[in-house]
Amino acid sequence: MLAISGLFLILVLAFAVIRPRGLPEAVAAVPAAIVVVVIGALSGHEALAEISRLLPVVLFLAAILVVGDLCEAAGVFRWAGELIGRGSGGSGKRLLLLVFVAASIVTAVLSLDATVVLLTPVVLATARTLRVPAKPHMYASAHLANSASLLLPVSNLTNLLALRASGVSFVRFALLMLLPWLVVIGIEYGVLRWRFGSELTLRGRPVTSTSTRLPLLPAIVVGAMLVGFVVASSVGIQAAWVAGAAALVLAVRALVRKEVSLRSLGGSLNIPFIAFVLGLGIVVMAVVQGGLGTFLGHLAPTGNGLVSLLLWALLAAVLANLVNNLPAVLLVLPLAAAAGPLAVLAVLIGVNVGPNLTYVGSLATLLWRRIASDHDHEVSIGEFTVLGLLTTPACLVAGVTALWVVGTVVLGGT
Amino acid sequence: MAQSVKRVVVWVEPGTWEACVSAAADLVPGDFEAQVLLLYVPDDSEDLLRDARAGLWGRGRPVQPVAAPEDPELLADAEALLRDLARDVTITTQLGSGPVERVVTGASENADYLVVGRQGDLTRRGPTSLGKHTRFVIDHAQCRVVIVWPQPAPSAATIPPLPPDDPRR
Repeated sequence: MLAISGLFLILVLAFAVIRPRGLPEAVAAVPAAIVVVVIGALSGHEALAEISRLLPVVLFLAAILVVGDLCEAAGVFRWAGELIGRGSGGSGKRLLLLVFVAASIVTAVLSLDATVVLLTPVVLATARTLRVPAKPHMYASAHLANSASLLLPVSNLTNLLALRASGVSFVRFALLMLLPWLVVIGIEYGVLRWRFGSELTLRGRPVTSTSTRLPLLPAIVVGAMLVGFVVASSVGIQAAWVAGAAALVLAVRALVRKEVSLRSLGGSLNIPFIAFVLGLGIVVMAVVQGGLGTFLGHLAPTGNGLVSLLLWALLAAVLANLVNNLPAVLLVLPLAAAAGPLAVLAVLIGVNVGPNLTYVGSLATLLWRRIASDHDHEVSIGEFTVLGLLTTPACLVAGVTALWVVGTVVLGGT
Repeated sequence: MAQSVKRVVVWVEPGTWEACVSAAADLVPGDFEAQVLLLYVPDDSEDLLRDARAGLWGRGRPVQPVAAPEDPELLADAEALLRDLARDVTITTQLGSGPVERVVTGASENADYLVVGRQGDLTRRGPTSLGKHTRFVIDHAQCRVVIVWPQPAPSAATIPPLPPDDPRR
């Protein structure tokens, strides 16, 4: 049975990497999930339990993505781009610092998707307006989308998936991850400053004109949403409701002001994405229960010491780099959950920071793109990989060490 | 005897373009017939943008090309500056695409001068002064290459002294 569900998992993953005809990943994941239940690799009862566990998580992320899209439609990112452009005064070094601040905040609050899809294009446009080389800032934004996604449960889908398994509250999650988040961002900053030292000394032209003002309501809603997460977590309400409410307020505003159409709003909500994560979750669960869990259990470290935490992060980072961090976290989570909250958080450092090692997040995607496209990407692959090698191992070790210090010394054995 | 028309190619890049354009103007003082080509080849930042999205499984967002409205503007700025400095020369601009080092090398074929910006640390004199692509261009170009400090060069005091064990000391 393991062989069959394993085969289906491979098919689902291959489909997600290759994306034949650009079809949504759910096209393979949903039928595969149905098949593993029909053939009995997973009972219907277990499948429903998995769905009810994953659904709030995915709805939460879906709502956050809608909030991000609506902030974009309202001009929040355009405003941010102008702000950092003006603040840099034409200096590459100051621009890098401001890009770091913006990307860290956007990633932490609105998730890594917002940084990749919404902030990075703004960073590119800003660098070009200033007439400074865009590369260092692009790398900063691309790297931080991963490595700055440690702070809050909402920062990364992997965090949301792990939150319940870790058994810690929203606030405690943030407290434990604050130091690792800062340490990892600090390492990224140091390496990029050093690596792009000469590009960053080039001066651009300062820009003074400002045409965009901060859209007030979206800013207030996002701020209120953050407070809402903390409050909801302390009174035991699902944080997805808070994100959903924020999305609703912003959607009504955007529809009234005709900033978005009902149709594009539906696209932001992204039903195929929800279906994909649910389908993938069921197939992975069938594989784990079919015996892969036992196998991985042999590899899994024991204990909560620094060395075990480092091994957890390493295992997670390797798996994330092989295929993608989404299946990686689904595979490792059940094991790590048994080892305690710090192990779960170490796994998150692994799956969140790890993908910076390979150019497009994983070896499978990288290889596929090499096969599918011609070879005009070679230069950037070399550059990105060098940067990944310089930052990722250091970030993993320092981030996990910081987690261990906070978890065992400061907060005393969570 | 009629002199042949002087041809100068300027490799326009963010950060160094102003110095390169003004060096090009210095190369053709009062030359009515001179031709200056301003060449800009954008880097692969768009590819980076597109590829960063490949890691976001299931988000299903269309991968749309990012508008880069500032690119032609860089060439327009360079052209305006050159027009200011060398009123009468014939200016052409080119937005290149492809492997930057080969595009630049190819465009400078049969030119009299190719003007490129110096790279590296601007606070001291010394290596590294050329990036990978500039190195390629200098190694392969057929014409004379002019290398320009993007801003006034730092003082000679920033050159490190001879090592203590150097016999010529």
